[in-house]
Amino acid sequence: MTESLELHAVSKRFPGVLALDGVSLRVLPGEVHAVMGENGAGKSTLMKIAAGIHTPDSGSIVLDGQSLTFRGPHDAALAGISTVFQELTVLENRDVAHNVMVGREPVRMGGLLVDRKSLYRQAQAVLDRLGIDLSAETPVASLSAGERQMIEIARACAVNPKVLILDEPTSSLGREEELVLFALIDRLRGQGTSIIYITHRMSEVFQLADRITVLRDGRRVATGPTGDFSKDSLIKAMVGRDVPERRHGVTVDNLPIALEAADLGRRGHVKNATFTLHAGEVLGVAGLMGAGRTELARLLAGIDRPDHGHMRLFGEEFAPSGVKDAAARGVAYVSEDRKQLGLLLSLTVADNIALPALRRFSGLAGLLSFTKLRAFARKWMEELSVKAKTPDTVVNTLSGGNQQKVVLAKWLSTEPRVLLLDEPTRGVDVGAKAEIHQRIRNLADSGVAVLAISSELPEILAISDRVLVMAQGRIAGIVNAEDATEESLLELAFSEMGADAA
Amino acid sequence: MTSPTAELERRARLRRAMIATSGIYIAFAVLVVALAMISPAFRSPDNLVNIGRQVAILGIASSAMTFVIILGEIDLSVGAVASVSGVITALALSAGIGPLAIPVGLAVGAGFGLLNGLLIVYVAVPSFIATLVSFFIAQGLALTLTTGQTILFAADGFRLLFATGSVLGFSSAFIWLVLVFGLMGWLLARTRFGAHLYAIGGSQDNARMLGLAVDRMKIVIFTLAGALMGLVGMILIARIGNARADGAIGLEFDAIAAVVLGGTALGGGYGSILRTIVGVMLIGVMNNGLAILNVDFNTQQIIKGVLVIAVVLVDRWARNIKMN
Repeated sequence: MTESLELHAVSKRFPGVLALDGVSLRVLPGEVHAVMGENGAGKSTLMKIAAGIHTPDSGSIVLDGQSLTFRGPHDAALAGISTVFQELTVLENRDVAHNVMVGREPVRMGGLLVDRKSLYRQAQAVLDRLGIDLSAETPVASLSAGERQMIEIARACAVNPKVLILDEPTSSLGREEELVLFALIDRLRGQGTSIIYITHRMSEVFQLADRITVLRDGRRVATGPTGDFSKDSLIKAMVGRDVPERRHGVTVDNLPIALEAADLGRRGHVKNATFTLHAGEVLGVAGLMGAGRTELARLLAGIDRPDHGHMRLFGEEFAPSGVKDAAARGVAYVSEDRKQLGLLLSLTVADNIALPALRRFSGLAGLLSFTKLRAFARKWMEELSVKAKTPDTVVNTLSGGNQQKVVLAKWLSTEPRVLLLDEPTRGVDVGAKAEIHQRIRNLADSGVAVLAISSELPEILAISDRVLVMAQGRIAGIVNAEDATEESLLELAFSEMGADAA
Repeated sequence: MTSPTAELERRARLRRAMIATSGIYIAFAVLVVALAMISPAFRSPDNLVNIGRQVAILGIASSAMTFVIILGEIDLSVGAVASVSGVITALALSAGIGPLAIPVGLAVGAGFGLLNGLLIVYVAVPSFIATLVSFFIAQGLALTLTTGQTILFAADGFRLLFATGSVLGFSSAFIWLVLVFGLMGWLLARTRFGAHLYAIGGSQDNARMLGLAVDRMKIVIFTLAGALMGLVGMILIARIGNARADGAIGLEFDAIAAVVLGGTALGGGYGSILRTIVGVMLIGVMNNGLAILNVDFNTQQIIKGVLVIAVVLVDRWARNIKMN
């Protein structure tokens, strides 16, 4: 049997980094081939080469025995390679049909007019065929992230591609949409389509993939049938070392109370929240999307003001007038959306880290001393092992995990007494995740009170001493992490749904 | 995913949005009714024809600007390029090359548009800078060629064709406007070219990932806009019978104002020729009405400024309704 797609000894150098170093990848017809690796391992670069977005410095792309050169994504699409990119590429200003059919709009009268009737009919047919329950006329601006992702998938599948590349397709999907996608993948595999599947989620890999290729630092380190790998061996291959996953549990009763909330509430988001956060503990916050977790953290961080209830910080009345006020009193909030809210992407690592503490670096005549600033940044980069060449590296060029470390460094450098973390490892790879977990633990051990929101229950269980579960704006329960399981947490997370519905 | 109720809610929201964004049409209607009530001169049929003639230049410039703004760019060279096209056409006419002056005028405009596009794509400067460069070069060229003098030419056929002629009571300038609106409206709303323009304007990065020819689109749009400025330059000189280096100076700002008044956002990806027509009519009717009411030109400018911010604020308010 001929390989349907072969990338042969592909290398790609970006300024300062060798992103890919002689990587080969063979994908057979009708197989799901998972490509795994940490952020920065070269997966996305490899996929962008297959999709015609980057040109390789050396190496070749062979499809059905023919060597190909892509001058752009259009060429790859013509050759039968469709890609669903990690970053959503939907056109927000257009409707579903124009997104699904973009670049292939049917025309009539010799191209003088777009054939709108058949545009909508064809788009609807694609959606129906794939089992996506959306109208082709819906404007994309009104769709959820998950629905937008499904639109991307519909666009990629509309042409019956020979090779379908899916780069983290489930990152914004709900459970139901995931099932639609998995059924679709099965169907395409049955039709002989080759599928390259990139994900961080172990469970998906073992459920879907026929074979797995692991990349690390731009090199291929392993390829084989899924059966040859275990979860541990995969992680080890990706990270290049063993990553211990430990459970923690301190008795919080003996720890001093750092933050105390009584009957705290904000209309429509948080109801009657009463709990304590102890210095030296990690309090995990679990719950479904929209359960009010971020909203609760925003109250604690002084971003929003509560409608009722009050807070005490180390025994003193705590009613912050804003983030600045809260930060001045030692409460730091690390947003879940690092790109929008956590970082200034176009600035350097040093600029970002030093931002909350700029006052400290005044030199002569009140001007900023860049020497002091860089030294400070360098110290925190080392502290958190941020992988950037210098403090002057622009944050935008770092991988997700390293960006998250910069956000952490930025807030840790203010030496907070209370640290509120919202999804601290979203979009971060396994290795960096383990490092961030370890860092969170160390912080708690050094006496910082840590509140960590996460949607990943294994993460909650791995880092927390206690777990606070929210459901529909209320605190559904606070349990010791040692006694908790994913099932018991989920049960709590769903607990008040029935009560409200009744 | 979508339940029937969610779909219904979505439609209700869209309906509300449509009502909310029709503020501009309401503003237009109020203005026309108010002027018609105050001034008998305004509501005379002759005056309506007059408005049609007056808005031809602004209308063509604004439809070109609409394309540029949907693309997510800006064109500051509009007035200067129209002026220099007019000047060169006038020089060509007075040199006695006859009808050949027409392609010359169009080529001058298209050439500056192409220069804009090439600077943006190959020198990778923002359209703000690229078109500022063209603005200076075009203006300097026009002043050099005219040495500050008014260029006179005698070409009655040319003047009839572009401005002073009349078909069924409509001036030929107005006929050109209708043709341009038709062409641009068709391109934008009914062709693949238009669909791709919206896609690229919505997000240039995404469109590139989706395999659309973003760079080619930029060059084509700016060249098209430039060619239309050539046409504007010719209508301009045909109307008054002479050419000046500052003939269309500041036209870009009126064009941007008309597009914005039509409710098109400067960020790109949204807008339509219909909206721009309303914006152009609003400015045209207002200028005409204020002139009839003997409000001087300087005061008109102030009122125009206030009107732009008022419409933008109403539009924002309407969008907020749409979100909630």
